[in-house]
Amino acid sequence: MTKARAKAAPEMEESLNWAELTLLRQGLYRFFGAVFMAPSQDGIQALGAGALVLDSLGIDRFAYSGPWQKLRSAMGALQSATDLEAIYISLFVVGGGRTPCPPVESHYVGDPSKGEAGVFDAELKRYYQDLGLALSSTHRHTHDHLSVELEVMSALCAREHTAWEDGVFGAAAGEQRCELDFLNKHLGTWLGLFACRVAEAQSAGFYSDAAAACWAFVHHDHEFLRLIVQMRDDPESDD
Amino acid sequence: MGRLMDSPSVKTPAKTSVLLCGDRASELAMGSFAEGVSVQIVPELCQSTRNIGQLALGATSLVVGVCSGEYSLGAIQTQARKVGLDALGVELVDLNCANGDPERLRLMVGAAVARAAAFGGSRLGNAKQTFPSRMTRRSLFRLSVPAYVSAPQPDSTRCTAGTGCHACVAVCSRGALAWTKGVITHDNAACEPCGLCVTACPTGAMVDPGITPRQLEAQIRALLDPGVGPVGARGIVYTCRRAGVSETNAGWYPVVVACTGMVPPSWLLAPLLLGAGATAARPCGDSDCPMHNDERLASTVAYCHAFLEAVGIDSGLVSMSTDVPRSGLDRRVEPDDPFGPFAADVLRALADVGQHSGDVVLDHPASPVGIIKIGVEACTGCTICAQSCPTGALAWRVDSEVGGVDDVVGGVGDVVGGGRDVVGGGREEITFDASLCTACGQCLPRCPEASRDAITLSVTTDVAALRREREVLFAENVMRCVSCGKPIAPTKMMARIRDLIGDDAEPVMRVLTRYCVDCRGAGVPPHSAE
Repeated sequence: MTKARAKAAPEMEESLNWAELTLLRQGLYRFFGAVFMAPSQDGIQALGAGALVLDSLGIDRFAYSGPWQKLRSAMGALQSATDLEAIYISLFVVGGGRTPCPPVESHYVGDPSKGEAGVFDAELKRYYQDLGLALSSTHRHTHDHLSVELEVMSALCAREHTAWEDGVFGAAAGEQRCELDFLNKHLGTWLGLFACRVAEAQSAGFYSDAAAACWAFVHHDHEFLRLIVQMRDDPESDD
Repeated sequence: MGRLMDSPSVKTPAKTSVLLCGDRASELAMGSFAEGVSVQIVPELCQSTRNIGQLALGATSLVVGVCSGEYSLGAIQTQARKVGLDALGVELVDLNCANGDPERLRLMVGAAVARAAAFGGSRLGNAKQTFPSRMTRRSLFRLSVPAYVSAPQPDSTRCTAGTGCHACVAVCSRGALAWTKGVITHDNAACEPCGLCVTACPTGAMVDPGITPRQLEAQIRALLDPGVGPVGARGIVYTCRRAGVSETNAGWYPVVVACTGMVPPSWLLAPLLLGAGATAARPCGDSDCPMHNDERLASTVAYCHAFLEAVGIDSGLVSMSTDVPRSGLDRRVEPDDPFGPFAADVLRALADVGQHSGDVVLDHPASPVGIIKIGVEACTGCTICAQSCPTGALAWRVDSEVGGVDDVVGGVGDVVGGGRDVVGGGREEITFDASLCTACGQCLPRCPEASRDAITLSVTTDVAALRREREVLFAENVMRCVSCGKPIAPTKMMARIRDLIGDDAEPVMRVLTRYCVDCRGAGVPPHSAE
């Protein structure tokens, strides 16, 4: 192998395409959004199929691969939606007089005793409207529900993906800023607390693995976006 | 003398996989390694890392020997993840540092195996994503696979931020650490992992999983193993991860740390006790280095020189350059936990080796140990200093004839030793163990009487103090509640309160000096104990 070939080889072999990367991120946000919705037999099968697609997009390249693999193992052991439903209800809906881990932002960031859940819901509704998004009428969750916030990130990534595909780099960068803003102000502020709460309530099992994998992914994605935006804002950047 | 019987002929699977780029390694005859280590020479490994996962299948740790800068760290880490390994635990060996010497290569690879095996795993947040330093037009189309370096995170089970300690925050030049309501938070995006917080933490609670005391000890012990590698004195040289391992003179062996500015005196001195001919820490010399820690390193080396000289050992054994290694110490002494947060054991051992008979008292800003003095005239015995001491070097004791001591005082004593105990006679004592003091100074700003010099810290190495048992710095009688008998406060504290209140003190003092907090609030009639 010549020196020139040797130098080029690893770069060609191991570089990332922005559009593919965004597709992976979009898929992961959508996948985790579905994980934290009420389980159903069809839903479990769809999750399995979705996970296979995501595996093929190269999750191994990222540091959240470990928690993801653990979740994949837990998914393999899933029996029926009925079993999962009971755990879902005990963790996220009702549980011994109080919900152990409510999957809503207002519980972690606001003060539930002050009835701020409604304020959060209204604020987020406006925030989504500003982004040109609205909650589907078939959705029964509040605007600050984990599944909704993950789905919002997925929608923003979908726009970014389209921009990369169309070669409109400025628009793609703009979408990344929107994603970072949403993580800074909402999803990134409470998901870690939620994941800790789930780990405390269920030391082992599908939902603790799912919450850990979701938090690992979002945490790394948040850091990734901060670095990307910071580098782009760097005056020495030559793009 | 007979040998111990070999274990039964059950082959254990390889635990550590060593993959060496054949472009350089094939020139060198690799010797055999310990059981559980599988060594494979892979042609053009630096150019194509695709097979690493397959070759390392079943391994619990991975060492990769690279010979050129063409390899992609991100791609190697990806392959490690594919076989379920923690990517931050992959050890890289620069084969060029072997200088074409097969014995030297074998020693370095063996040491990397030891370091990889000592990896304790990482947590979310320890992986710090890295990118090229600048965005280019080209990166609009393609990005390189992300590579991760290990970044520190506080271990909440050992962190004493709850008592106010923020030693890590004080040394962070990037603003990546913050103390909020007794919790240390770490901003991974702002962190440029330099490791200063790791070695500044008095309790070893700030953990960088890629640079733990256990890993360093494993690697350095392996590098100094007289049964392996070239004959002759060996030097240990700390090098900066950011700068990479550059050429090292024969006889010197590199140990990679986050930044050489993080290296404390004990890390430079401990290898001498383990058999190193000399130790060095080389500043990266990179003008773009964001750490600017060269001055810190120079001060640490200066301290080592001064200490070695003071105890009668050749100060040239520690340096910032890798000249021909010297022959080291005449005697070897095994310190406990040589790379842990407490330097006292290393310093005591060196003083023993130096056989210096006189007192060694060394004032130096880089001293890893300190001496606390309490001004008995000003101290009121409030014990806040001891309660906020992260290591338990300062501790307090109060007797308790009524009820348990735990009812009376609380603090960090149960975290790291020292702390609470029972003594008789209605007295309170504040005690000090110099061997546990890391000169972190966390006690100073919390002293309410600091302005009156109630407490002072000398950043001093006093070998005699390091050898002494825990000593009493302050002792005072304690007033007891006339109603329930519980301790109220030291008499000196009451005298100070009286001074502060002034002429109108008597009515208040009559209550304060007679009743404990509980009985004051419980409506106990003053006459009940009169």
